[in-house]
Amino acid sequence: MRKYLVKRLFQIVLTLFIYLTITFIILQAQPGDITNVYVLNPKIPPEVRERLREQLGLDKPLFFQYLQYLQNMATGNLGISFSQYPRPVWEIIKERLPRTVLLFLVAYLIYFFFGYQMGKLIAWKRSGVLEYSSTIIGSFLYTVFTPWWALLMLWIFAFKLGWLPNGKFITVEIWRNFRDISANQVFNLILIAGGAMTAFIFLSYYLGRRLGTRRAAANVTVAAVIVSVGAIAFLIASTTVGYLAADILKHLILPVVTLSTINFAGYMLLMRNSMLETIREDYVMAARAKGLPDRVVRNRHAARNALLPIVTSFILALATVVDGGIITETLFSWPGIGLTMLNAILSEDMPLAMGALVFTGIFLLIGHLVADLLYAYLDPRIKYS
Amino acid sequence: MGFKVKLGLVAVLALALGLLVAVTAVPQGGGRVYRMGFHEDMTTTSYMNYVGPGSTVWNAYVLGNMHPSLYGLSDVTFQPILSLAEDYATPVAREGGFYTSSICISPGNTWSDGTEITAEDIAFTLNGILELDPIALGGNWPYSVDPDLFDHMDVTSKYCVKFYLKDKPGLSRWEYGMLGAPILQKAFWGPKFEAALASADPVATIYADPGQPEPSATSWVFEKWEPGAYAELVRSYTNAPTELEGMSRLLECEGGFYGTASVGSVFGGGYRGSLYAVASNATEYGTIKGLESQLKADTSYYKYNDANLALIVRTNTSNDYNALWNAVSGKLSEIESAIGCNKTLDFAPGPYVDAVVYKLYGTLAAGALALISGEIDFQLNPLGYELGLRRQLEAAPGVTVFSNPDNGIFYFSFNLRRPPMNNIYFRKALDCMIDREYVTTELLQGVAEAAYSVVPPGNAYWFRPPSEEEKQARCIGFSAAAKLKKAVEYLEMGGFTWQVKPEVLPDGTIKAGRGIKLDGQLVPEIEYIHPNAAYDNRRNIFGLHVSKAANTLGIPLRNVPTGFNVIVSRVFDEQDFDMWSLGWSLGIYPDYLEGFFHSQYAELGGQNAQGYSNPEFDALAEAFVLEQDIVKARELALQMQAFLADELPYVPLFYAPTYEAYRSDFIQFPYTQVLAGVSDMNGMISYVKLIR
Repeated sequence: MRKYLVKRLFQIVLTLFIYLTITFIILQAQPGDITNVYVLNPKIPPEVRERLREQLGLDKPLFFQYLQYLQNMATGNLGISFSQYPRPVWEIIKERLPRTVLLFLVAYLIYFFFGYQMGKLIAWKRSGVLEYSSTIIGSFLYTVFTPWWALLMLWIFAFKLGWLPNGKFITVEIWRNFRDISANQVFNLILIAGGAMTAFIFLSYYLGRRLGTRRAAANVTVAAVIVSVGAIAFLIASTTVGYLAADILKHLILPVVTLSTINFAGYMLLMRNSMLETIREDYVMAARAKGLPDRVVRNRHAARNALLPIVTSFILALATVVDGGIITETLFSWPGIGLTMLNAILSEDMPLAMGALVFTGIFLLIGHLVADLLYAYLDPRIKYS
Repeated sequence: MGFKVKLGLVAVLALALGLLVAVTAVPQGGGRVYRMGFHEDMTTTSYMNYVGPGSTVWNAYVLGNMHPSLYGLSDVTFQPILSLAEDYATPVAREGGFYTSSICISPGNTWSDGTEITAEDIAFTLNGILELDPIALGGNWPYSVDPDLFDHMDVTSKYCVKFYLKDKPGLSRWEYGMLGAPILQKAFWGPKFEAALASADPVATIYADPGQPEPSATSWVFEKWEPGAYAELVRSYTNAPTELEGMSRLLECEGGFYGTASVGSVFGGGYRGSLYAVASNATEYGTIKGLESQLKADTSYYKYNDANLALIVRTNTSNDYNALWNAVSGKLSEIESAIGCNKTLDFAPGPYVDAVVYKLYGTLAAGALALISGEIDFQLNPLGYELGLRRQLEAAPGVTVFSNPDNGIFYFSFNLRRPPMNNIYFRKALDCMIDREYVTTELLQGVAEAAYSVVPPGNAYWFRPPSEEEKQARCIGFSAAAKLKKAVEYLEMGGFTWQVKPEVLPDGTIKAGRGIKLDGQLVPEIEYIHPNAAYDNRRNIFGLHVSKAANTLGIPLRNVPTGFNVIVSRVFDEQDFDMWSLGWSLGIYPDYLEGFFHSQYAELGGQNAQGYSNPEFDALAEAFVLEQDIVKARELALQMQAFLADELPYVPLFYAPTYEAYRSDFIQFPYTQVLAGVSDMNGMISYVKLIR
């Protein structure tokens, strides 16, 4: 395994190098540079543009710029943003990342959960109304044009019914009463609280299992959920940060629902297909022959084994949580990494665009590695040497 | 999953929803808040950075509201008026090796931290920017502190400074340039400038500073920027006390009279009334002077400025602001009736709100939706609404849509270094063939207006409409057949011949030409690069129209719709092109006529990318930039425009009116008809009144 890990890490470094080079070439292939905006301001003399190009290093030969870029990447320096000069790229990514992670992580978890559950059910109860209706609706949503669906959701739930906010991630009228608290502080706290809550629930479940029975484990888990929710409720009700966090969560609903409705069908159909193959296996028949209840055969024998491709797909998808979604972020006025990357590319802010792409690339490569390792963990038949 | 677990999950969901409902019920922030939407975020909170590389319109909306300048521009007519200055600058005079001019500011003006604005702040700003190097600072700094013009500034008294200039400036570099430069507070920026100058990279150091919390000299102080969400300005009650609301009046009359009466708080307590009136002509000025005995008050600083046809009255300090207001407003009313003012503007500037919130939406459409739903009062929108959104807004209750001429021009131009584009008749023929009215009304459905001049008609004082003779020469209002005949005439005058000559057939249809030749040689293919539909559909459609018109004449013109950056690189950086189309956003003073067309800017990277060179025009342009008399400057600008209409280095295509919208059931603007729209006035934050 160690040998495999070393080999994979080497591959990652090599892939990253190729990725960096290709990214650089593609972005540099765009005509012009960020100083183009000055051309259209008659008040700004041409020498100002020239000086700015010098300051940003754009007057240097392309190969020199490439070497400098590689050197910066090797030392973890993502450079200075051109459009927000002289703000470091890393600072901008750090600012936008929690927003993207929260939105897409929540959406991923929800549509993975629903996709898994639905896929499991419709494979088990084939040729029923549930299968046909879920497949048709799921396929429709999976192929729906995302901007249209997002706008429709906004139109219905925000504009017509007024139940949910019209995009954005905070209610300005609430936040301007709490001037000393920044949105990012709250985003980070939500992520930490969410992580802590999940860890607490899993730990409780684990300890419950150690106690012996499944029933005991379930009881402990429910208790942990109630305690966690109670703690969160207490924080929301009694602290300013809690209130503000709840405001962010309220803004999260519509984009998450939009993303989930579009994407859950992918997992549902994947799970369905995987289940259909699994339930034909001998061990499932054996489990049935033993007289085990249907639910037990489905959940513990079939679904668990069918989970493998889903988990791999999920882990890879999780790695893309950090790059956000340009369409979703734009339509819901949710300025995360995706929107930042788009604006950077449009304004020819190369360091910021490359910084965001590199960051995403590294995450994706690590995600691949984790998926491979998880594969071996979930399926003991797989051995890396 | 067990029943209890399911129950737990249901409980979690119910609780979460309950909490979110609870948050919805949180009482909203009080006070009078003016809510505006914008759809691109700020990039900095530093005013230094905003004037420099961060000079985006989005930064301007928020940060461009807090700094004083010696001169300002009047509402709607945009004439230079006194702002921080007590009186006009003395005429620029030769003194030793320099040209000098002195100016004083009114005493008693304060920063929002309560300290007084003095000559030290002015000298610090201009000398400091010069020391940091305006060219290296970039952005608009070289326009405010022109290193080719400004040498240094001396403080001559607590409120007076003296400019030392390298050259004698014209209006563009003086009244519309340096005298309008922003003033920074020395106490706040001084240590930052010192630290920057001591560092290895002064420019990066000064721009890395967040520049907040910076004291303001206006009614507004920067409060907060939540990146990706909103920004906020709050009212400075030091500079704009609530008790003075409504105690100011701004009056403009047909012809150009400008007058203000106001009461302002003075540092250290007390108030001062002031009256400032600028006559539009000598007769009007004579009338104002004739009122001297009625106007004069014993305790007033009282002065006529004959050179600028201005009357300046400032009272001594008093604690009775009501009495002061009655005195100065009464005087303005006397002047109003004496000159027989036909009012074009008459309102009481505010501010009337306590805070201004700028909410960020991901797209223009999302902002428009917020306007319709009443989430915002006005949407800042430099490019205006396109037809679809406009119709949606027009149909929304409580929303008023209005339009204004934009101060910009869309054009196409030629590489005058290459044949046949350097042939004036070639350019005249193409100009003649283009049916701007057809494109703007039929194809673009009124979202654009036909253009014939580089200076847009919205900039009324400097605009030169085409004369009758010119209309004939440029085929304005001609039918398609008449246009073709005239264009063929032009081409023949230019020495062009055809294998198949274009003509109007007896049945009135047009037969396209083919194989156009110049000096017996076939004209090679001409490439016309213009913005594609994704970037700007209006210019794309005009591009297709120009191409079709040229092809009808037998000119082998091939239009290439492409991206903005491709055009900019090829035209301005490489000068490797035949014809191109772009647009300009223009300033109020038309010194761009010199910048775009003087031969000295024809080098690589210069704005005269077309390479236009005409010594006669150059001489006019040079005289124009040096001119100090606005009437004479206008004459020169009109002559320059006549030149351009004849020689056509640019062929103007269209102007684009700006459509904006606001909640007329929530707010009131004193006026909405202004060049480039209310957005260009940063949303009139100091004028708007809430009525919701």
